[in-house]
Amino acid sequence: MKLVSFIEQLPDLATLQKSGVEEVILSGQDFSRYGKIKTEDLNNWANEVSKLGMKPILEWDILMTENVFAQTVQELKKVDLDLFSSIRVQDPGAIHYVMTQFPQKKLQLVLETGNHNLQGILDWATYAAGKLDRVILSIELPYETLKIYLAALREKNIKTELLGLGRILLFYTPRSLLAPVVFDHDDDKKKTMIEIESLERLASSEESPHKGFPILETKHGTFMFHIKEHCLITQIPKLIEMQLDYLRIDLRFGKPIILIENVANIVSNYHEEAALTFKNNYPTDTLVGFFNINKTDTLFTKLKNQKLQRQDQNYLGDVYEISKDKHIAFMNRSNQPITPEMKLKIINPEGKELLTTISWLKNSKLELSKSIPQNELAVISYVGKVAARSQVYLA
Amino acid sequence: MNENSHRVPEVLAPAGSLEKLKVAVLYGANAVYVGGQKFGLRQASDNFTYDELIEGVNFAKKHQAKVYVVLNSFLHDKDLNELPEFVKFIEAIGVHAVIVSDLGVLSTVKKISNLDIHLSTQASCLNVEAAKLWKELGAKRVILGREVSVKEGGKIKKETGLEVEMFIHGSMCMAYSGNCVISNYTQGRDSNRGGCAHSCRFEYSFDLNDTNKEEKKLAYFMSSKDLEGVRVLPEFINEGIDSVKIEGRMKSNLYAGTVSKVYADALRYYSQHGNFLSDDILEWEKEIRKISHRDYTDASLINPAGVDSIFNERESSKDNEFTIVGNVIEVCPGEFMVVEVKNAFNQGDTLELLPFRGYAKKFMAGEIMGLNREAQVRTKPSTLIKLPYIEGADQWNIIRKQL
Repeated sequence: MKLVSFIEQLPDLATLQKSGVEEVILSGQDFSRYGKIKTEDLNNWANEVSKLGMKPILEWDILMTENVFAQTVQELKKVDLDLFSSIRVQDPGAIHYVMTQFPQKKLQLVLETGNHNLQGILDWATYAAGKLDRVILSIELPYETLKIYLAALREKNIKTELLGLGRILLFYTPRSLLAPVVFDHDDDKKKTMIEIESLERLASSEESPHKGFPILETKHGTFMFHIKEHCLITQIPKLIEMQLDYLRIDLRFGKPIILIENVANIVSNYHEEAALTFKNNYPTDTLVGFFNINKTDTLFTKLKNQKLQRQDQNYLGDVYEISKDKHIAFMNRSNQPITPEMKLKIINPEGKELLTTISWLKNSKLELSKSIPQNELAVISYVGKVAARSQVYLA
Repeated sequence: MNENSHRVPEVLAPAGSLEKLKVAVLYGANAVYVGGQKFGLRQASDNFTYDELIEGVNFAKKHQAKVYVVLNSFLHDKDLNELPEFVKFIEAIGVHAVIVSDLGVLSTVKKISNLDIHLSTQASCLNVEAAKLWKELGAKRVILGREVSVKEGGKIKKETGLEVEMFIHGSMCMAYSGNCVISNYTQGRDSNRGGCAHSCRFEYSFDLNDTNKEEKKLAYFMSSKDLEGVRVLPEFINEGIDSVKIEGRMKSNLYAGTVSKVYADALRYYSQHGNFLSDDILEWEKEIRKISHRDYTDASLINPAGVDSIFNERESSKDNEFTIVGNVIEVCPGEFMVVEVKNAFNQGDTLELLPFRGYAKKFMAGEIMGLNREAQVRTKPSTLIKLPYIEGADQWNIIRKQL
């Protein structure tokens, strides 16, 4: 399993090289969500990476409306793509553009958003066939799923990457949301914002008990991160066992680059104690997230009253009115007429089933009726414990 | 000049239930989008059973409207395994298209059916190159991200030949669609499989000063105003946008009916006259403000959304101008209307009946009778009452009251 990482200053390259990092992702200001490297410096940085025997990767992970896309490809012309081993892309427009304009370039497809089924990942790989360097998988995929995916992808010679250490992005918008809060519409401060490359503050929601979500604003928008960072350092044996090709270590946002040496040592010679020590001493609290299990759909059944869910079979309609000891009125929604003597099953919102036989049947004029057609009200004798919106079925 | 002299986009309305589908279509929507019990992004919505889908499609067809079914969740493998049966069913009953956001779903649908594929806004298709990619993969229409302007939408249409659909009204996420997982981590609910907990609508407290942690600022900084595009309709038409989409499968009949009617009336006017030079535009804007909403913005329809698109306050219903009092569920012309009461009202209250075409009809709630012919002074929710027939009233008409 090889390591992939980032640098934010050139001197850090030496540390990455010493740690055996295979690839260095270069995040340019005009192409990367949190990029700090000026576009005009990217070529030089790529050269420096290559000189040290590592592979420079150009990151292009911003999402772009059409106007922004047009501006971005103009900036891209300043970059010598031949200096980069691969281009790392996320916007489908960037994928298509690189494939058509630079067909000789290898692509690293960032599939971290969505892409939670194997079929979709294979389809992306098929689409980029011949140009695909690897797929970068979502951290929402649990271990048991990843094992299956990696085996299937390996069969097709598709390399894989996962975030091993770094911030978890919760939210990404192109809008400037932090500056208005920080600068409070003061014109002088607004001018300063233009010169600031990025702005970061901590925010706490009244919703969550967690305090201190990092909020970052760059020229590409506003980003919200989890208060804890993603850390799979204690799961390295599993990652190696499932033959993950690349592990991404993201020490940006103020983490000391020297930590990459610890990670590299743990990867090459795993000891649980060392891994736990690393995790416990890491500058930020961490979590493994969904690596063990992802149960983010189990609460769905609680989002609505399942007892109010209509069953199709023998369904006749919904109760609109109950008049105690007098009548029940329901709308006949079926294409079967309601007739006297019909045996009904009424299910109330608590799920209780109530059986009755229609002894008398009236229409909305309260005239006795032999038949109530579809889309008309049927009025029948009162049944206890029936409430509005109870469902009526043929028994 | 006949009604179809000038080409206009379709009005695509949300239908969170069979009842809302009928209301939206009757109030003028040319198409509705619905969800089955699974695969969509609104787990808390009523959603449609198989029989409801059949009835909904038949109803829509009878009124020359189309039905699109959402399959726009980011499906996991076990969800995808259950998809083929559902896709075959909806194709058999005559659904016009599916709305997908996931490539695995798209390729599955393409493999097993001939259904038209619309790419959901959830996939965040934002530019010409992305649209080209999705066209190659089989999409017939792209529903653009709400960050895209109408002009950009027109460019995408011209340069790809795809149908283009854009949101024109309703609630908005701040995040790029599909790029928010806050509730996944804070509430254990997958926001991209229908469990969004609307974390963006809460108040946030900021540490403004690194040295003085006591200096905090409170803000609803991630809450967006609601989109409203009545005045932007000319741009949609000029750019040849194929469909204007109204958000809101979770919203009420009053919302579905009112908003569908406004945009349908406006586009019908344009279709007949070739312009919007009518005082009715003020009426349409007034109508749109009679339903519950956050402050309105045109967001990024013309220029990228700015600070004035942020809804920096707690949500409340205090500013509602109107409330629904009920739906007409049966009509006996010349005699009475049976109304399902949703909110109580009094004898003597001034009510409005919203017909499917034309202006709202004001009337006084004179004689109110229960089904048992008992006179009532004040109605109760979840009951049926009879009101004297209003000329032109029809089943599913909305009756509302000014607060």
